[in-house]
Amino acid sequence: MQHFLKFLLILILAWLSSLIVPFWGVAVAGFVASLIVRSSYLSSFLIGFIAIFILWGSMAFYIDTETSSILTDRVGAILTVDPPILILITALLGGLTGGLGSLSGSLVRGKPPSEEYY
Amino acid sequence: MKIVRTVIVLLITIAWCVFLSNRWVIGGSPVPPLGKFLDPFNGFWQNASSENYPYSGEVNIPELADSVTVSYDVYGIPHVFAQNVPDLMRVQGYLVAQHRLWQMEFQTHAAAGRVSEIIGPNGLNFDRLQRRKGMLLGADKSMEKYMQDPETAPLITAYAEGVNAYINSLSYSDLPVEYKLLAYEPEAWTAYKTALILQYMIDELTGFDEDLENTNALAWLGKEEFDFLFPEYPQGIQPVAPTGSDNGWDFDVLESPEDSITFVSDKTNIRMPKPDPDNGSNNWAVAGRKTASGDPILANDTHLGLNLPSLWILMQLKAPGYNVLGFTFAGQPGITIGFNESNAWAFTNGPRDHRDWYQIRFIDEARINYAYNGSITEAELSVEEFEIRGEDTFYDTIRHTVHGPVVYDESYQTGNPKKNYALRWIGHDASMVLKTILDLNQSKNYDDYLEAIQYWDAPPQNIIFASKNGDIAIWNQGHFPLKQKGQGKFLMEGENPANEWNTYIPKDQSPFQHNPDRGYVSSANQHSVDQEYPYWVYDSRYEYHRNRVINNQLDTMTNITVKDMMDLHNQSLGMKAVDLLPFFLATMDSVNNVSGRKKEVLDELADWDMHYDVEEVAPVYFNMWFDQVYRLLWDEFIAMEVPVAYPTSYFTTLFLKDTTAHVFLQNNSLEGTETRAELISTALDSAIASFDDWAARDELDDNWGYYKDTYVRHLADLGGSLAPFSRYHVMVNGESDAINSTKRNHGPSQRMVVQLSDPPQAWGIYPGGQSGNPGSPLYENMIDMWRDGEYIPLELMRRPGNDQTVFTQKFTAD
Repeated sequence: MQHFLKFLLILILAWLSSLIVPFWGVAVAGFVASLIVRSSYLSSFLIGFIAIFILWGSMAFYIDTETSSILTDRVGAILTVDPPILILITALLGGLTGGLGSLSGSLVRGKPPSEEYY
Repeated sequence: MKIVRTVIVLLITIAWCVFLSNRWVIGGSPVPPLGKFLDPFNGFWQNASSENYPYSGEVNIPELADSVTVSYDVYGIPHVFAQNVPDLMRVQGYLVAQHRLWQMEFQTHAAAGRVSEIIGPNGLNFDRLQRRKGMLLGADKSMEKYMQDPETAPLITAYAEGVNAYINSLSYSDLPVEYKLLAYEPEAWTAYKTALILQYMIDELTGFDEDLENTNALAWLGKEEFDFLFPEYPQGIQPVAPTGSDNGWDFDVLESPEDSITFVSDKTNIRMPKPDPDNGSNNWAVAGRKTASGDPILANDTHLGLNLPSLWILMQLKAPGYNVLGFTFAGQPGITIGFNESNAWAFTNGPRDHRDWYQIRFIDEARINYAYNGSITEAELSVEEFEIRGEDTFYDTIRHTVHGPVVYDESYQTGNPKKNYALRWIGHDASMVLKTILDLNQSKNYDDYLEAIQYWDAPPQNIIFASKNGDIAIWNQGHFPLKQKGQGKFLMEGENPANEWNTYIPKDQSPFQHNPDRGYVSSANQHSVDQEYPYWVYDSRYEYHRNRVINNQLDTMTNITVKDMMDLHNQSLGMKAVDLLPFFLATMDSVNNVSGRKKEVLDELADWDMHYDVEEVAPVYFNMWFDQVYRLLWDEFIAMEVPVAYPTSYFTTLFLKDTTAHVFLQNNSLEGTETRAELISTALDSAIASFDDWAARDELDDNWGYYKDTYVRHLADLGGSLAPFSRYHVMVNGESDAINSTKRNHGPSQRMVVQLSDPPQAWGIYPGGQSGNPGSPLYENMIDMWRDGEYIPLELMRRPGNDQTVFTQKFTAD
């Protein structure tokens, strides 16, 4: 439940950030969410990663489908990758950024107390 | 420990974000800021569009005096309805920016020699030449004159306001994709940038000369041979305005001194970049008595580099007393080529040698004082600053003489303090062409046209005209220096003031035709006049082929329809082949032992109708054959170590047909090739060998289409670096000596046909699309239609929002 809340929080914050700041807003979103919701370092990274991976991946996938790959084909060809790979790269890049932000946040905030015993 | 770990992860996160926020050059290739670029909410993804018009329906331009409505028709042409002319230009500026912002700004950067700011050190050589040859000198002077003109100044300013309203509305997410890819941002638009766009066209159309190549050739060949190989008026030419009953040149001829020009014999090894020698166009207008409808018909197509985003954009501008539709340059207010309710007009380049070179003799080591007119004159020094992306700013000192800037000197290309060459170029003078264009937009009849073209300066153009009241006309207009015979044909001595341009030919003495007896006017960059014209007129590269096809056809055509004109536009009959192929084939008849592959090729050529059509193989054979003949014949030219002028292909044709014994027929590189027939036959052997080489290279069909392999190149696609934004392998008929002059990356950049009925009916096409966005369905949607000879209707929409409207934008001040 905690994890899911954190996941939702990152999604919402990342989406809001995209309206005002460049891509690094997703790192800030992960960071802030981790300050608010505590979880282990590994979970923090994974939740941040998955949230932004899904957010960016689905947005890119939606645009690609909606526009029949009109620009994905061209930009993909410049970077010598197919449109599905370009969507994957986009999602991975976003995921890593979100994951790193989220991990940083949880390091600042500290692990949840329950984990201290293990 | 924990703090250290936290700090390290934080630093990694920040470093990661910084890395993805910046452009990097990795192994020589630039990589865009990947995070910003790939972000699906703000990066390139946002440039993809499934809609033709992903534009805001309601727009504010603070300077607007009244509201303006724009209706887009199904072909993507915006029809602008304003209450006054300045508002028209404001909205035009906004719309062009909305469709083509990156392109219009990039072209001004190129004109101003500022490309290195965007692409880095690779652009420096280009930028330096732009500044050295004086692009800014001309743009500055034109700007000053435009701003003093009470009619032009407010409109050029209004246009800039519109462009800036668009630029100011943009966030990163809205930027054209090229900005995201190349990682920079647009700067504010200014009226001066319009002057730069026009300067860019002046350079494209007057930037070709062969003075230094002529000088090298003269020194090598001697005067007699040079004059023989490079005749100023070869036989069989058909000038735009032939002397005749229509035109007797009865004006007061200005006197010019004779024989006071002094040339210098100086071997130069400068290889100047030049605009494509085929930059040019076709245009013609036929009188009502030759047409089926009884109305005059005007047709044109402008031959320039084939680029994406296209050079042209289509638009209608309507306000009370103002109603014009046609093609315009991105960055220039008004309609360049088009029609209104009464008239239609268009342009072809009317070539004249408008670049002359002077040898400058500096007398001091610092190269400041130079010999001039029997004494010593001090050059003015200017220091040009070049910002280079990723490197330190570069400073270049340019020396300005009485003749013009020293373009080539020790620090640029000659590497020798004694070799200094100054350029006098028509592009250094003010040009008021925009005033002509804006006046043509409102012209009602021939007199208005005549008045408008009095302002036309460089580049020299054949301005063709047709009116619904029946007039047809063509004027070869420009800002023409009065030249002595031979002036500027070769490198001139910089010390002699007699070598300068002093007076200019009055504009009403320019060559023209107005309602000539033959019932049509036409031009295709050929000689503007014959030798009866009272002034000496010269250019090193005229057009010799297309103009004769056009005239041959128009001479005999009657009951002409719009469809006939469209067919003529798309005709691929090659005049070079018409001139030469029958002669080649007849010559081969006299050669013994022609069999096998050679016989097969000759049969193929004998069956060819001499049209350069994509599915044919014969045009490839002919092209290669002519190429080999040319190389064997002029092999001494190829062997020269300094650049020399080459005989034209037209002269080559005349030479081959008329000459049986000449020193150049004796081939140096091929032993035993002594006669013309042997040369032509040997050339065919080489041509077949290169054909077989080429054919074996891939699995594609061996035909003209794949041989020519036409492409439309994105402006930033250098050597395939941005290939997916270009369109390659367009199978399109034609060649430079056919009316459809499409070469590999050059050809008809737009076509238009206007029938001057009431209201006029018009059709047009260009190889691109209205949108400059590679992510838009309208980016290149017209290329296939252009290839197939199709047109879209250009209709003067009467009121906004009629049944043809597919999208509407409303513009208000707040």
